Amino acid sequence: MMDITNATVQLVTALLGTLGFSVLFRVSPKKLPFAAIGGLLTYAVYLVFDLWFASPLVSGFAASLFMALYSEILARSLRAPAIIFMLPCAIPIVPGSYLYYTMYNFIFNDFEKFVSYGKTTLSIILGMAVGMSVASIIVGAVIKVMQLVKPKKQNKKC
Amino acid sequence: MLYFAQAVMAVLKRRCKLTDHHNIPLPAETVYTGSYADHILRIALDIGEGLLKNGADVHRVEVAIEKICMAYGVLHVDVFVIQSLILVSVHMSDDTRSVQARQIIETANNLTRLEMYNALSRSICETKLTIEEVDVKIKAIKQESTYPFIINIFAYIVSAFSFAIFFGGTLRDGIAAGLIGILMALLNKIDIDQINRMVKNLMISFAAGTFSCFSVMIGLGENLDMIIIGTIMLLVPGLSLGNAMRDLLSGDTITGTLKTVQAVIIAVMMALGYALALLAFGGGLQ
Repeated sequence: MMDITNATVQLVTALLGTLGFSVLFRVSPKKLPFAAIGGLLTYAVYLVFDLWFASPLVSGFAASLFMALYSEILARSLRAPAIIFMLPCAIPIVPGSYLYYTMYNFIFNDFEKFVSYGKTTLSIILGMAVGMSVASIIVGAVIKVMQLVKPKKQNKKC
Repeated sequence: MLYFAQAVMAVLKRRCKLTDHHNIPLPAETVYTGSYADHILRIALDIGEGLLKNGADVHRVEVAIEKICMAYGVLHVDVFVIQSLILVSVHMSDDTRSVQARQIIETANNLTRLEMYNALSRSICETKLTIEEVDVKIKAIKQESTYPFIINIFAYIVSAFSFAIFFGGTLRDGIAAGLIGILMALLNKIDIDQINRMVKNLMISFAAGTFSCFSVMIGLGENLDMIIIGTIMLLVPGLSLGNAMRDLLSGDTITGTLKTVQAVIIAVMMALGYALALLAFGGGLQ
């Protein structure tokens, strides 16, 4: 993780992989670059927090918090639902490798490794979920405050 | 013996009749009759179904249906949405009522369609479209196809290639994973009624695991685990598990539970497929 070239390779492949997944999720062509760059940034946040805290729960939380806020901001400015950016951007922090090692150690009877990898997998997923919920709370609060500060015309409900 | 044959023939005849009965073609242009409330509810359900099918969360669907109904001047609306069902009742200002339900059988993450349905529901709220206009637009959305199949295959290749390298594989691992990605795209295209999603996942993951082992055996790939992880990323329900957790945390308990169970079952099926492949072919490779 400390290696700079390794991190660069990971960031570039995160960008490419997110691009591929965005096509699989059928994000419309105009929004593809935003989704792909979002995947790169999300993974960058994950890497930074991983260096800082070395805890999968915290890094998953921070990365998904960033990802959700990024998607909400883009959604507001491009007038599209936030989930369009959320689904592809979350892909690089999905714990695919930990899930594999959990399964591998389960079928080849290495119980200690199974438990430790399983714990890591679960904590990343839990961190992601909490991050997304916290982001939705923050967004809701910001919208409330904005409405209080600057009440918009009432006829535009949607 | 004769009696038996006669009985079999009778059963067969009855079955033929039944299937004939089911194969009566529907009229090409469906004629809708019913009150205004029925029509409002129908288009609200169409849009809600489109949103839910293509990956919107339950809360958003509820809000969208409520707003569409309100835009058409409904007095009171009750919405109940879970992952596989939408149930709506409306009460119009002229005291007519209507209740309709819609079952959602399959889900597909088509975010372009999601975006279009969202834009449609926004435009209904802002400029009151007539029901015929909305019908035409919904039909157009259903026929939308942004990416042809060939681009889909490329997306599979790029994703598998990238994630094999992302998790620490070499270039050769990436190429092997990309080739297996083609296979997975083709297998995913197979659409047989009898095969449900779980079995399909099991099948695809078994094939992917087997071919990962083969690619190492013939010397194309170097690290078996990296190739498998690259292909696993295409199947892993980590995202739907995350979404399910988010639903649970935000209070949609029923949907959250259903989605969690579904994601866990898919994960177990996937793990089972890879495990079978590893046990059969990969034991000596590690």
